[in-house]
Amino acid sequence: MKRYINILMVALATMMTSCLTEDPRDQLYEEDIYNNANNIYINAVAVLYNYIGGSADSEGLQGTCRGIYDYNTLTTDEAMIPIRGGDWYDGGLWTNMYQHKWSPNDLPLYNTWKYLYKVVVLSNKSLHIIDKYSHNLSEEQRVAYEAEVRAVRALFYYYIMDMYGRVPIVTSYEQPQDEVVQSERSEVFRFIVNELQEVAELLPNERSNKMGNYYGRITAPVANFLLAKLALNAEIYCDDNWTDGVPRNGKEIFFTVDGEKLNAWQTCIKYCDKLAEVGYRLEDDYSYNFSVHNENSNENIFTIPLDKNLYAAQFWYLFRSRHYNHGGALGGSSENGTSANISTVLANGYGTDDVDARFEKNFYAGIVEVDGKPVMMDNGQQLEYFPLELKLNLTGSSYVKTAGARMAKYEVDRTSHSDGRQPDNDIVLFRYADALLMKSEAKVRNGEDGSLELNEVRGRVGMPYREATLENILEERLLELVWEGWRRQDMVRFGVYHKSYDQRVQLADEKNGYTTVFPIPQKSIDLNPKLKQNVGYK
Amino acid sequence: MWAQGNVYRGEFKGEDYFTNVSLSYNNAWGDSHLDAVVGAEYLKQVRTGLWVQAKGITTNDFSYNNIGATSSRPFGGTSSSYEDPSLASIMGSVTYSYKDRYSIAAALRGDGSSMVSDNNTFGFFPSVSLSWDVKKEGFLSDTDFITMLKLRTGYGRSGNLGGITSYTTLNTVKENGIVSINGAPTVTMGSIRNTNPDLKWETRSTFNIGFDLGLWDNRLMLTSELYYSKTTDMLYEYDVPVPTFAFDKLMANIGSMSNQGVELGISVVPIQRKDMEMNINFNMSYQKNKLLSLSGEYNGMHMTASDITPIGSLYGAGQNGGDNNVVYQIVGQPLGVFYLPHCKGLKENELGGYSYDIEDLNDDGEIDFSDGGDRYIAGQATPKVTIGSNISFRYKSFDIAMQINGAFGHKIFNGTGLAYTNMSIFPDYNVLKGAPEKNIIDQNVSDYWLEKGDYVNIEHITIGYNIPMKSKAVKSLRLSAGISNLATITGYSGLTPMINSYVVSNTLGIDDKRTYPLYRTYSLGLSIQF
Repeated sequence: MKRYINILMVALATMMTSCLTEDPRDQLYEEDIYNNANNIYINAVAVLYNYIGGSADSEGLQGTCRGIYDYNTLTTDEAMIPIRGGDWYDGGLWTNMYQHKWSPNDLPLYNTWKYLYKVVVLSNKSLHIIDKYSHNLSEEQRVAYEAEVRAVRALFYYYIMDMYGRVPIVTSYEQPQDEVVQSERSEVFRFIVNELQEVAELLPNERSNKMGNYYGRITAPVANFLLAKLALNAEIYCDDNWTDGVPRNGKEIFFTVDGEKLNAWQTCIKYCDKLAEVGYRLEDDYSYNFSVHNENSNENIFTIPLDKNLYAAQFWYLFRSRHYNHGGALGGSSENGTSANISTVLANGYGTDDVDARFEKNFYAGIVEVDGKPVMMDNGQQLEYFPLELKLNLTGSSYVKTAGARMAKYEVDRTSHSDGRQPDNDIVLFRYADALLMKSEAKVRNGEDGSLELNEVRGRVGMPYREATLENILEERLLELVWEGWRRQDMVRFGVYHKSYDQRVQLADEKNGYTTVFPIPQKSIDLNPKLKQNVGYK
Repeated sequence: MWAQGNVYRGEFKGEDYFTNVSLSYNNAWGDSHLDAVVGAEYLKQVRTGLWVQAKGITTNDFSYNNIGATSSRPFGGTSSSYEDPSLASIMGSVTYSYKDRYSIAAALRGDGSSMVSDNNTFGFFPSVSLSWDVKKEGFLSDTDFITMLKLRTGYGRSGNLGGITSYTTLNTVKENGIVSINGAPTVTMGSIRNTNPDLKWETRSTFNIGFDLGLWDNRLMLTSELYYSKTTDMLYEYDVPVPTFAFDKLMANIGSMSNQGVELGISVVPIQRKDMEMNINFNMSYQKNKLLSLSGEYNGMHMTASDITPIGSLYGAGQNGGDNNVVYQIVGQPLGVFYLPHCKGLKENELGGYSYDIEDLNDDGEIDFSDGGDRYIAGQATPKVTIGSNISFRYKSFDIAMQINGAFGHKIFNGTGLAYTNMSIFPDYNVLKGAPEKNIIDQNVSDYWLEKGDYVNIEHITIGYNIPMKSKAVKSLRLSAGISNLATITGYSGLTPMINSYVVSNTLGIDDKRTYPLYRTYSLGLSIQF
């Protein structure tokens, strides 16, 4: 009897243990997705491009909210999101951004850090996979795939270093946690420049913004544009002590380009010239670059491919900016948030006889019409935007809902999904007009004349000649590149970001310029005590 | 939101296959009695799903019955799924009793799940309990007024896997996006979270001791139990550093929590006669819950979750972000505590109204709303005491029964009050009665809106009448009338105190524009038995 019970128990136990293994039918094991060269490209290289755009807060280089774009736009003289009665208070998030009163405890700063480093860690994992499964690849493929992954990683390190300054450089998927320590900003800068210079020659020399085999990928021109941008900002990025009042001199920072030793400005000019050699040029119509079908622009260099049916990336900024009823007239709704600052609107000549030709392309101001009919508000009045009535807190003002010029720039896609957040316009990250302005600025800073390039940009929109001085170049960048996410970097480079501007007053202790970088998120420091906070933040 | 329309249809199927087998044995000799049971169970669940989302419709008339009449199916809206978790258990128990009054029972349970890692498939959970029927003892045999007295105590362990889903321990991948490759949209595969191959059962150890007492022919009965339980290897999603992890959360077995309390039940039959009867039941339980620790070792790495983690905050226009957190998980406190700034009162502000005057609790000269700033622990979201009561009365053929429940010792954050008293939203949004007079123009979170959540709820009252029948065809006929949720007695000023005060989620303890009061139901009933 006892023997039968024993046999029964053993049989039961064996049967049950074997019945307890999972059979994942809607998932795959890792080995299955790296089993040939094609799959390795798809799942180790191309997979990283999912993260260039985003569909959630803080995810995506542009297009979403509470991420890189907001921290580079709403902290400047370009735009703000004012408190409008019961809307947009959000615990003071937006007013703090405008006033530079952010703190290490801000959740969006932590989310942005996590997003950027997630892609870095996934890039390291991709390199690890390419190495592990290299028996499935030819040598040519292995080199090309590694180069593309390293280029993506370098791009993300650029954003990390630009935002946070002193950050850890992690290059191996198996790096032990206790070896993650910060490097100086100049070290991170050199790492990024070296990576890009090494891989740029291995990347295809093709247009990334056009539909085709290279759509949305990092190609050689994209890397070259980024190198030009890095060289232009070398004075800032090589300054490891940005609060001591001693700046670096671009003429004394050197790079090796194609075997030649050049200073920062010459390097910038060299890389901008490479773009012209490939054939990038200004489009005759400024707005064509931002149209619904802007894939054929000859001016756009690096874009985020958007398609309401095919891809997941979204573009929130038009939806977030325009008045509720303005969005309603277009077939959806809107959030009545982002407004252009008064100094920006005045720089465009608003209210004078000399309004810049780009003003009406980039902003909505005054009476709003959709399909030829004026947009009406709920109180029966016609909707009119009042750019000069903008204040940080509009509660109690009679312009609470209508103050501020709103974002235009991108053509409205009337067939978009999700209230305009899923249009077909590709989001423009890098374009050639910026390269011309970079070249103009580099020339001026190097003691040469940059008027040719500056006025090429102005002439395209029919604006009269202006001399290429640093002041004019800074203003031209505002007029030309408004809403494109460059303003903070430009203001830092020209030394005005930490000063008072527009309606913002310099903070009591901001004189030393500690707000040049954002704080390391406190949560990151709590989880990795080896990280030290940036100067000026507690 | 729905420009171009939106059609969604999903079908989800779950199949459960369950089998069990048990063998039992008993034997008696002299004053002893032995019972033994051994058994096994196996549960296999198969879950499949299929769903489609489509846009571009020109008419609403098809509803979701003809998804073919749409022009596009956006990426991410259409998918199918399959999972098949299984659970196997073996259990055995032995009970020995002597002289029908002393007994000891020991049991062992082994549970295995497909969802935990292969090394930890099975968890073993023993338990032991003792009981003593004191009434059967000689020294109580003459004590007539005590009709029942039993003492019991026990210690046992049980396992829990709450929170794990299938495949968490395997390093599997599925689609994580779509990019343009060679000119065509191509689906990419990759991991979407950190995996932990060492996941195992969460163990809960409980000790209890209690008694059952019956007096005067069991006309008065008391039962009481005292318990203490500790959950170890608690499953929790820990924050991990990015880098070197790619994602910021990792599910792991670290951490512990304790639960202790007292339960008391009283039942009285004050009247028991042929045509009149009354029964009163009352039970009360007091519980104290404490999150002991969220730190430990994983893979040689010291893991810790922040001592103070927000789990619930306000939402809605103007409340998206910033320092809006209300309910927190704090080590050393019950799960779900209110950690808020303190409001000293109202003060005039520069907008012509009033603001919440926040106290500078850490005396640093600044008002700091962020976690760890000027906040203090203001109360807990889960009730300390819950009660239930049943009262029934019968006179001849009429009967009436009433059921009551209640909860005490917890607080509720009146988020609806905060949002709709703030006059800065007016006239875009309507405000509560009395708000214009108060003229508060401030939407900051503070303990001004934290109220006591104590309540007693009359769950239902039923009146019935059994019509005396003399027919052979109809055996009985009964009419009844009832009211459910007759009334809730509470000091809470919001719509209802019956919000989520039990389940730890982002709605715990917060009444924020989403809970309607329970509706009162009137019912009439007729029951015929043939």
